[in-house]
Amino acid sequence: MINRRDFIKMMALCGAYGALDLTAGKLLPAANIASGRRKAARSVIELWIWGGPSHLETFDPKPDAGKEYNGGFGDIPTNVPGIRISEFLPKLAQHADKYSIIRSMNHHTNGHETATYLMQTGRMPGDGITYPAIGAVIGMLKSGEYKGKLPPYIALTTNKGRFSENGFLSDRFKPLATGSDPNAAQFLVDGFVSPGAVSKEQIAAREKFAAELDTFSAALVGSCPEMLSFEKALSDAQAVLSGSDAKAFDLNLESTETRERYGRNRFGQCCLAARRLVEAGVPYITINAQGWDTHKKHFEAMQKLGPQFDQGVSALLEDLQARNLLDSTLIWCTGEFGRTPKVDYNEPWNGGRNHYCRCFSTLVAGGGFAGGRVLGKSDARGERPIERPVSPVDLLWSIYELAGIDPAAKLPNPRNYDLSILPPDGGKNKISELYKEKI
Amino acid sequence: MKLFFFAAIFAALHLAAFPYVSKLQADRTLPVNKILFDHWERSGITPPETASDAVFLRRLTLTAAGRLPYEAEVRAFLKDKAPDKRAKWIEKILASPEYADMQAMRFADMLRIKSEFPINLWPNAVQIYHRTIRDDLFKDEPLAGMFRKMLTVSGSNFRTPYANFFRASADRTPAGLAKMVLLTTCGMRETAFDADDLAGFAALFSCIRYKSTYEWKEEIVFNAVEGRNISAVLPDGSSVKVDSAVTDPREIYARWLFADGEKYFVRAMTNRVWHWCFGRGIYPVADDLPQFPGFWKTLFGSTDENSPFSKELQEYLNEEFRKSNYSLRHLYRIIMNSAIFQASSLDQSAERLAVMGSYPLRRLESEVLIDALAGVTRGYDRYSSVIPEPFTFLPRNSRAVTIADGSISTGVLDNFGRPPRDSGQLSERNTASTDSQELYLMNSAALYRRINNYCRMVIRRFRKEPQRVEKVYLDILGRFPTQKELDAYNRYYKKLDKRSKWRALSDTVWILFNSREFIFHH
Repeated sequence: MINRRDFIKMMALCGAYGALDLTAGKLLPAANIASGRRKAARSVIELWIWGGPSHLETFDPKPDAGKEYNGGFGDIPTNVPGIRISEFLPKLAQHADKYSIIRSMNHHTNGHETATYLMQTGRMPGDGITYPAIGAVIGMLKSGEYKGKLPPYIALTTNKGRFSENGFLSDRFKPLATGSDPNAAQFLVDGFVSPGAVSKEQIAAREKFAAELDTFSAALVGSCPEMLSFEKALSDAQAVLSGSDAKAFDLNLESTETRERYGRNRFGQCCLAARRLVEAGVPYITINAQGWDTHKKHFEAMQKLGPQFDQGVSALLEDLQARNLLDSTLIWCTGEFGRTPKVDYNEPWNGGRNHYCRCFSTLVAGGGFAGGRVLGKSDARGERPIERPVSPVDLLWSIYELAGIDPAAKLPNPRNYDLSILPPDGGKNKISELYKEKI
Repeated sequence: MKLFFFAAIFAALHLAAFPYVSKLQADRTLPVNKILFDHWERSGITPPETASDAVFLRRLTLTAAGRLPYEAEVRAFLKDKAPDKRAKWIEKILASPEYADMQAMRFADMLRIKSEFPINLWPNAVQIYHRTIRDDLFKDEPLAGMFRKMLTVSGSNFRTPYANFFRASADRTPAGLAKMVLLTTCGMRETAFDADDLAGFAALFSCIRYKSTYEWKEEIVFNAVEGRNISAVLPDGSSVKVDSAVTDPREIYARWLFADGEKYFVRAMTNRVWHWCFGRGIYPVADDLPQFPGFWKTLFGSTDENSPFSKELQEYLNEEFRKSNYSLRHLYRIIMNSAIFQASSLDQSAERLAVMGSYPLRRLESEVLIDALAGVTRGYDRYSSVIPEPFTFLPRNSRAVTIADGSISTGVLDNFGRPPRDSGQLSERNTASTDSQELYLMNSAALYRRINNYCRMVIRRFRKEPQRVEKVYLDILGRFPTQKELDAYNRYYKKLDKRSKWRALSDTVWILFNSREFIFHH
């Protein structure tokens, strides 16, 4: 680590904190605490159900709570005896052996932005520091072992947009939001995927021409850190363009059957793209699903959202297992909170559910998590956890741990803050009941 | 023989550097230049060469107004034969509305103006706060007055624009507000103070209260009149007692800041403006300034790593700022007329940069770069708020520089290091380069499309190839192409077969957009 004095000197020389980017890769400690025991998860897929999914219509159905609570919808058995999930998820019911459910998630904030921040960083806002999201931290700490040329943290297809996810870490650990629609004829990730065919000869001729026109560089003497950073970025970018990494975005390389299996809709094809990115070795992928903030006409919305979610996640689990990737890929699926168990049938909500942080469900799978288990329990109406409450920190702690990262370790950062990844005492209630093997 | 060899190298260098340097000598009678030339001599370096007219105009327009000079401006400026044309054009650009837009963006970064987490100003408050600042900067209101209002007003976030100052903090505890005030008004961090003094300073902000009203998301900032006797410490270490029932403790701070503590404020602002012009301050880190040395330190010399590259220059700018009644425009005027702002950037050797002996290269700011691409090709992105209550859509063809709200962004703007406006520190704006930025510039489908549209327009308007090349050079680089560049273009054009002749121009535009000369402040 560099100290404050060196840091100021360095800045005096280069005039920009940004120059630290050049050394960020070298600053990182090898954070793999799981070496010697089971292999840590290589990649993480986060299924971020933005807006807050209702736990009653997903993984914690309450068939006996009455229409006022369950809207008249019930539960179905799964392929694991004793576990029942919502009737909206018939396909996922066939894969309960691959995932586990936490039914006692809870925290204390009902605002989207604060809850998102809490679920992503394990911290409450207010101390003047913006912490990085788990994706940025894992992306950064795994960028040593990850040899691919795509960014280490990729968001399908948009950012969460509620806070700057790299927090106080370098900009390079911001999620790359792919944009575009993976369900379109071509998943055109701007910059990474070439829109048209430019031949190698044309590119070579253009390069030669560019060198002739580069009057400015020819006149430059000496090289400042900003220019060095530019040259490195340029050669990295050229490596992406000439390499095959960006093929991970080309969903047309999949068979029609596979594409159909995931569902021909945005969410389903995001799941497929996530699997391809896992195969490319990308350490952290998030799918930011949209449309789940169902204040109005909740059950009508679920008729559309439920089947897409059910099909996409089922196909993802099945496919990862078939390819022997489920053990090395950790999946977690949650919203920033759940939705109010008591349905609001009044105008203007007409059967809507509001934000609800006191009790909601989260799904975890793969990457060292066991399948076929349920942790925690909610009351008869899904309003409060009555067994083994789980906080955001408990959950995040376990995800870090299974990804081979010690959450109590100091987080190297360009601002030189002396901070650990999660509050150091946060591991007391980690969800080790769901680990496949003891850590 | 040896002499001849050196002369030949010199001549060759000069020829290659042709579009970038001028034979013009800096006016050494200007007080600021006198200080700079003395500084360079003491540092053992030769004074830098002067940048060419074209480079100067581009630099001036980008720095002051956040945009590229227009084709017509470049032509007019290069044609202008007046000996004082640089000084005249500085006035012209500083008086333009785009000057206010650009400064408002910088102020909004500094004041953390954003709707969402972790600042949570909310859209209506962002709009009124930003608009007021922009208008006040356009009118060149004395900065002392603007800051006095920020520090002292009470009222509604929707109705009293400057009341948002104390709302725009991720940490609203007295200690958090104290840190925020130190950073914003003194350019200092809490690390420059003892814990006790810091706690004493925080006492001045312990009576600020916030209350909501029946209007959704309205919040009123006020001073709690609890008649408490507060013992507080000011940043210079002097102590003060306040009865908060009689005097708003914030008022005590404001009085100090524009009287005994005025040197803190002046130093903070001159360093910020210098940073906005050169990417670093007079103290290299412009917002982590050290405490003013006490008696002993003055006697034995300061050992702080972050010290001004020229004390004389710092003093001179402070004085000018005071004499102009804290005019932001005047600070820019002095700096932009100086030999260092008009210096060539071609020599980027570490020795010269270390003593501010060359104009430092750095990447264009995210918003400025994206606006430059959009302005040339006439294809702007659309900007809208993610907050659904109510949705905000900026008008078509809005420049990114004019976006009031730090929460309104795009993947592309973020990609190029737009600051999140969480802390207000200058370092939040990242001008380092990354591979995904390069991939955008080299390979974006959207950008390819815009380049082709732009070329179609140029081809329709100009019939001859050299005119077309001249047009794109003026638009993109703000200068005429050299003969060598024109020759290279002709060779490239001739080699293409008939059906792909059109590619000569679009490849040229692509090349210029990807050139260091375009991407960098130079």
